[in-house]
Amino acid sequence: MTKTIDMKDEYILQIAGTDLNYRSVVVADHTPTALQILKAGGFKDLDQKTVIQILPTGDMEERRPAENCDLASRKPNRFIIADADCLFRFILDDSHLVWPEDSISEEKLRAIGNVNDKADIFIRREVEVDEVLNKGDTLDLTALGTEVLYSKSSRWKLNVQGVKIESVDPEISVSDALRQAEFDPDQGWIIILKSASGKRQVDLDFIIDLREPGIEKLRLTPKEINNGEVIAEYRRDFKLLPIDEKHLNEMGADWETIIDGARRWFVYHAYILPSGYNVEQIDLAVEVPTNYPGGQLDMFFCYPALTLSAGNIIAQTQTIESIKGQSFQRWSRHRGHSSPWNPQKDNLITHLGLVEESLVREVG
Amino acid sequence: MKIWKKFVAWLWTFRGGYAVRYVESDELPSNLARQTLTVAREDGELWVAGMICPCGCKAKLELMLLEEAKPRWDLRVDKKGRPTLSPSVWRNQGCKAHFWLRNGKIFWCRESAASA
Repeated sequence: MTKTIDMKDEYILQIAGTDLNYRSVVVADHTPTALQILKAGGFKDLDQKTVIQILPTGDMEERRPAENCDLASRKPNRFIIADADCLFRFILDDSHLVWPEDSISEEKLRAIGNVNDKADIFIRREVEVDEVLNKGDTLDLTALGTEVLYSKSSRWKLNVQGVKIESVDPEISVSDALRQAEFDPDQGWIIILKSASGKRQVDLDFIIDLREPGIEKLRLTPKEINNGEVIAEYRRDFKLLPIDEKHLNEMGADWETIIDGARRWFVYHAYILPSGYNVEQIDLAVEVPTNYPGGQLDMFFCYPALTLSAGNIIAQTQTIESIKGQSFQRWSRHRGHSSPWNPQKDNLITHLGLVEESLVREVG
Repeated sequence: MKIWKKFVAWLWTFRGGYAVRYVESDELPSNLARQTLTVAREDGELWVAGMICPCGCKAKLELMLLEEAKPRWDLRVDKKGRPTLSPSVWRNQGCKAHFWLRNGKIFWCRESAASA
């Protein structure tokens, strides 16, 4: 950051050769002559040097040795100093530029023309298609003729679910990208941004940086299907053990915990039965005592009531228990004396193991 | 006669069961086969599973399998090639179908007590 300072009438300038490596020099005047600037820069052979001032407007002007150069008060004051037989003048966008050599690299042209890296520089041609200057190119100024240069932002491409869109800005919001590709952003989408670095789910407000290498596509899936995990309406009247909840969610179970009167119930929806029963699936309930896991889980309850397809009677299932007004069939299945409830080891998941065992035994 | 009955039962399992078909893409093909869970897989990574809604409404259901997506489903395929999706599939539009696909079979969820 360079700015002129008023201390003791000293002014700091930036001077560079055609390499554009600027260095600071100090002059004692806010309207120094080109000669003063050359002296301040420690140059010899003063009469062979050409001084070019870069104005705040972006134009470049040659200064004769005795000519005064007005310094801008706030912007950096830049000068290019070179040995030059002749100067090449051309226009880039609306700026009149001067260069003391017969060719200029794309990189330097970008620097003196203030063209940001989002844009490409084009050579306007009379007959042929305008030519783009690629990175590393050198422009032959002797052959430039009357053509002028202009810069235009690059077009950034993105595939939105098979529809290719272009963006002038290298950054685009997901919702704008969808709109441009004529997808209704408000329809509800699962949106995955696919790039060389991987995939991530993004929302409509996410800003995609199209300069990131390997940005490939936005992949859309209609968000019209929920899964059991995101159904918030399931009741969680009380908490189970963390290990219980972890396992249930891993199993992809639809489950609830319900306090009904003074009793606490765990209900597993759409529990799939082994074959041999009157139905394929049930709501399975387990009563959870308030002192669980100190207090043991015992028995289980089925809705609707189960019968065997084979017609045999299922022992110890005659009692009906009302849970939330639904009639659940109680299965009086208890732990044996040899394997009592162990609060350190047992939990709902181990109990569900016993439940499964009991259900399989009847049809086994 | 007994063998014939067994044969019919065996045929029946085919008729009622879902099979898995893989396509090499990150997207589902536009036409999905009936009784088939079509899985789009790219470089060994599962992207999405698709099926025709089993309720008969013929809607195309797309279920994300990709780790990074939410909501997403887990797909397991047993030795007989029968797919299981978890958790359940619940369409919040149209037919509002709510079912499980387990071992290639559709299990319908009754309306849950909580949502009633």
